[in-house]
Amino acid sequence: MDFVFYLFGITGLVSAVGVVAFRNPIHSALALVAALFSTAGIYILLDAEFLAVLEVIIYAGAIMVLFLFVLMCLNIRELKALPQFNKKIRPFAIGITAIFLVDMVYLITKSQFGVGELATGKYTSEQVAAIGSNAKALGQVLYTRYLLPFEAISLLLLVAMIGAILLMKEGLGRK
Amino acid sequence: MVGTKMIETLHTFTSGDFTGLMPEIILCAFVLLISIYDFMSKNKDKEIVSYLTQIGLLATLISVLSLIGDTAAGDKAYVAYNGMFVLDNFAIFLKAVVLMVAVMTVAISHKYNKEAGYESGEYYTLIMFAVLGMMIMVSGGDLISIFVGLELMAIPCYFLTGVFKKDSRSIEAALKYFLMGAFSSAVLAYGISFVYGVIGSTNLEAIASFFDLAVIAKAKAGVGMAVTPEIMSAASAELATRLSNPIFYLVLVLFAAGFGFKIAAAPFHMWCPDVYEGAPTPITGFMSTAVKAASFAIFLRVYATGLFALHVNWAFTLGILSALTMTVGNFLAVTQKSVKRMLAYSSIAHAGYIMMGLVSIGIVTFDGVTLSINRIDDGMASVLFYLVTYAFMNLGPFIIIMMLRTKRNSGEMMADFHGLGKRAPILAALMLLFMFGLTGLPPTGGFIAKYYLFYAAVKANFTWLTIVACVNTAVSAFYYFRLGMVMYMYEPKIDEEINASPKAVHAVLYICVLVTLWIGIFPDKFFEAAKHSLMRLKYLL
Amino acid sequence: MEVILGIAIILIKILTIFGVTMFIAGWTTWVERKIIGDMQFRVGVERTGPYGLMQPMADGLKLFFKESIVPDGCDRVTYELAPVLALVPAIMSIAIVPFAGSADSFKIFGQTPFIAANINIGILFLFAWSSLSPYGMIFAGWSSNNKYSLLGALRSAALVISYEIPFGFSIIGILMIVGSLNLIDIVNAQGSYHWFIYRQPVAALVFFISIVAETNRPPFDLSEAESELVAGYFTEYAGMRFSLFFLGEYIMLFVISSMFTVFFLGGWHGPFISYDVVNNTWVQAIPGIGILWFVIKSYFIVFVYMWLRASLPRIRYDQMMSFCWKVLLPLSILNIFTTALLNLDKL
Repeated sequence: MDFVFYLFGITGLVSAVGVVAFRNPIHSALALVAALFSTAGIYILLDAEFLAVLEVIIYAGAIMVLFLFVLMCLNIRELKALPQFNKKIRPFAIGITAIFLVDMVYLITKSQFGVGELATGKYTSEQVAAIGSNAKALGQVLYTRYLLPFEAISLLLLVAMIGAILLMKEGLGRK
Repeated sequence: MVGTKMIETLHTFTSGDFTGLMPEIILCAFVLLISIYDFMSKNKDKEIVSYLTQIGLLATLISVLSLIGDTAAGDKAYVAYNGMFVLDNFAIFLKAVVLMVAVMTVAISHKYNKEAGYESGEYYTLIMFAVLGMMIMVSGGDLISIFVGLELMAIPCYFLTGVFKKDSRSIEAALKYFLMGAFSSAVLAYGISFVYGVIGSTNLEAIASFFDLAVIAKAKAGVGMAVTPEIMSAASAELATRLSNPIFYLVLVLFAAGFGFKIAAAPFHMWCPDVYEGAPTPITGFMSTAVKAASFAIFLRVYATGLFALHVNWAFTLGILSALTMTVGNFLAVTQKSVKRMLAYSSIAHAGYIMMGLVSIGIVTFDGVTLSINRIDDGMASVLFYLVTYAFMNLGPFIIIMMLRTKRNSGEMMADFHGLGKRAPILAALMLLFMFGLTGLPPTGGFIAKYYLFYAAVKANFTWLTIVACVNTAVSAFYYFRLGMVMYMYEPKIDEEINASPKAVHAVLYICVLVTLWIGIFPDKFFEAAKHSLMRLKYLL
Repeated sequence: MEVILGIAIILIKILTIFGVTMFIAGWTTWVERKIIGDMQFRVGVERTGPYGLMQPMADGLKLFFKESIVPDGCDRVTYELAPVLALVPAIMSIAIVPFAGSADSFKIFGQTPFIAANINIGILFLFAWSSLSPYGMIFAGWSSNNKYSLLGALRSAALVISYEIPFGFSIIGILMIVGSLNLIDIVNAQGSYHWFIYRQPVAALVFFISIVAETNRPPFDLSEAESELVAGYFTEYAGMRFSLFFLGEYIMLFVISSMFTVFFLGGWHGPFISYDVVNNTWVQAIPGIGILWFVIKSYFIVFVYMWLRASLPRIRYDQMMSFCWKVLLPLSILNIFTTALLNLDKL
C-alpha cells in the first residue's frame, strides 16, 4: 500500500508542479486534472471512496471543464507570449519560497501529529464500513454536527452565483 | 429505515438552536426574499430594494439586541450546533456594530450608485450576504464555521469591489482582491488542517482544552480516578511537550498570514490601497469598518481562546507585525495625492494600532509545572472599544468624499479638498473633526480609544510597541493635518458647485459625527459595553 | 497463489470487458443502419456477409488502414490525447454494468461474472466517468486548430455539462427510496415488476432526455450538426483516431441505455426469476435468463435512440439550453421534493 501511496503522491506533486510550470494554460489545466486524480487515488487508499469520486465529479468533471471552456475562448498564443514572472521579483519570490519550504519541511518532520485526547477519531475505516458506506457516514455527520457550516456554504454558492450575475449584467455602467 | 446505525450520538436539534440563530435566520429570510423581489420587479429604480434592505438589517439588529438579556442572565454563553455557533456578548457586541455600519452603508449607497449608472439590486443582496457571513464568523466556535463565515464575508466583498465594472480601477481592484484573498484563505485553511492534524478537532474549546493541564491530568488518570501528584507531574510534562510542538510555529505563521490579510497587516497589506481606491466609496467605507471589525474580532477570538496558551509564541511576532503595519501605513500615507488612497494607508496604520491591543490581551507563562495565565481584560476591551470608535470615525470621511463627487470630479483627490473651508464650510469642519479623531486627539473618541490601547500595551509590558505607536501618531498627524491645511489655507481649485446629497446621507454623516464625539466625551458606557462583552467570551482558558 | 489468481481474475475481467464493448460497439452500428434504413424504406447494409452483418468488420478494417491525417498547427499533446479521453470513460463505465447480478447462480471463483466491478458507489462511479467525457470533446475541438471543431467542442461541452445536472438530479429520488448507491441494490429494490419507470415517471422522463443529450445523439447532436459545423469536434480526425471517437460514442450509448434499464426497467428481472423467501435470494428458473432480459431491455432503449434519430429534426442550440435549465432542472428538483415527501416514513 505504501508503494501505491508514494505513486499517487509523486504523480500529484509532479503534476502540481506542471500546473505552474507549463507555458500553455491548457496543458496546465490538464496537469491539474492529473493532480486531482492523484488526490482521488489517495482518498481511495484511505477508504474514502465517496470523497474520491466526488473529487473527480466536482473538480475534474465540472470545475476544470469550465476552466477549459474559458481558456478555449482566449487566444493561447498571446497568453504564451506574456512573461510568466515579473523578472524583478523573481529572486525574492524564489528566496522567500525556499526559506518557507525549508522551514515547513523542518517543522513538519520535527512535529508530532495526532497527540491530543481527541486525536484518534471515531470514524475509522472499520466503523464506517459497519454502518454501511462512506456516503452514509458522511451524510450523518454533515447534516447534524456540521449543519451550520453546511448551510452557510450553500449560501456561499448562492452568493457566487449572484455575484457572477451582477458582473455579467447588461446595462450596468451606462449613464 | 436502511441502516440507522450511527457511530456516535450526534446532535439532536433543540428549539435553542433556532432562538440563538434567530438574527441570522431573519437576515437570511430577508436576503432571499429581497433577491426574489428584485428579480421579479420590473422597476429599474432600486430605491425600494434599498429601503427593504435597511428594514431587513434593522430587524436583524433588533433581534440581535433582544438576545442580550438571554446571555447576560445565564452564566454560560449560548452554544449551538455542537459548538459551531457561540452566542456570547462578544458576538452580540460585534454583530451590533457590523449591522449598524451595514445599515448606514446601505442608506448612503442608493443615490451614489444611481448617479454612477450602476444601479442594481444585487448590490444590496451582496451587502446583506457579507453581513450574514460576518455574523456567522464572529459567532464561530469552531475553525470550520469561522472559515466558512470568513468566506461568506469575503466573496461578496470581492464582487462589491468590482461593481463599477466599466471603471478599470474598480475591476482591477476586484481581481487583485479576489486573487490575493483566495490565496490567503487557502493559507488559513492550510493552517487549520495542521491544527486538526495535531489535535483532532477544530473546535476552539477542544483546542483550548488541549492545553489545559486539568484536562490532560484527568485523561491521564482515567475515568473516575483521583488525580495523584505523580499523574499531575506527568501531565505537566505532557503539557510541556504539547506547548513545544514545533508544528504550532507553522500554524501561527499561517494563521497570522491568513488573518493578517483580512485586516491588512503589514506584509499582507498590498491589496488594501488599490482595493480601497477602486471600490465604490460606500463599499470602501464598509470594508474599512465592518469587515475590518469582524476580521479583528475573529482574530481576537481565536487567539484569546484556543491559541492563548501559545501566547509566548505569537505575541512578540504579532507585536513586530503591529509595529511594521503602523509604520508602513503611516509613512506611505504621507506621500499620497488621493485622499481615498491616503485613508486606505491610514486604515492600514490603524490595523497596526489595533494589533497592539491584540498582543496585550494577557501574559501566559509556563514554568514547567503549571500554566499561569494573567489575563489583561483591558487589552481585549481596548480592541473592541477601538473597533467601534474606528467604525464611526472612519466611515465619516468616506461619506464626505462621496458627497464631494461632482459631474467632472471624483471627490477623491487632494485637489477636491482645496479650499473646502470656503466651498462647504460644514463639510470641511466635519472632515477636520474626523481627522482629529483619526489622529487621536480630544474631544473625539479617537483619543480615548488610542489612549486605552496604549494603556493596555504598557500594562502588558509592550512599552517599546507603545513608543513606536507614539512616534507613528506624530507622523500620522502630519498628513491628517495637511488635509486640514489644504482645506482651510488653500484657494479652491474647483469651481463646481457641490451637489446636494439626500437627507439619508446627511443623517448618516451626523450619526458618525455624534457617535465619534459622544465616545470622546462620555466614554464610560462604551467601556462598560466593551468590558462586559469580554466577561463572557466563550472558551476563555 | 491467491495473489496470482486475483490478478488473473482481474486480467480476465479486463479482457472480457474490452471484448464485450468492442462487440457491442461494432454491431450496434449495424443495428442502427438497419433500423434507420428500414424506417426510411431502404434496405440498409446488405453486401458484406449475410444481412450485411460483417459491415462493422469491414468498416473497422478500412479505418484501421486509412492514413491518419494530422492538421497543421494543431497542439500535438492534446490532439493525440483527445480520442483516448473520449474512449476511456465509456469503457470504464461498462465495468459497473450489472448484466445479471445476484440472481444468477452461475459463478466463477465465487463471483458472478456478469458484473465486473460491484462497488458500493456504483452510480457515482458512472457519474464520475461520464463527467469526464467533455475532456475528449474539448481537447479534440481545441487542438484541431479549426473553427468548426472549436465551435462544435464548445457546444457539446456546454451541452454535456448542463445536462449532467438533471441527469444526476433525476436519480436522487430513486436513491432516496432505495437508500443505497449500489446498482445491484437498486435493481433488487425494484423486484420483478415494481419498476421505477412507473414509481418515478417524471424522473424517468428527465433521465431519458438527459441521457440523449449526454451522449450527443439526435435530436440533440448539435455538436456534430453537419450542415453548420461539418462534423463538430472531430472534423479534423481521420483513420484510427476517428474510429476511437466513434467507438466511444457507441459504447456510451449502450452503457447509458443499460443504466436506464438498471434504474427504471428493473435490470435483469423479469419472467422466470422469482424471489425465494426462505433463502432470501432471487432464483431463476432458466439459468442465464437474467442476462437475456437485461440485453433485451437495454437494446429496446437503444432502439428508441435510433427511432428518435430517424424521426425527429435537430433542435436549436439556445432552445436546448433553456429547456435544460428552465424545464428539466426545476422538474427534477420538484421530483426530489415530491419523492422526499412521499417517502417520509423511510426516515
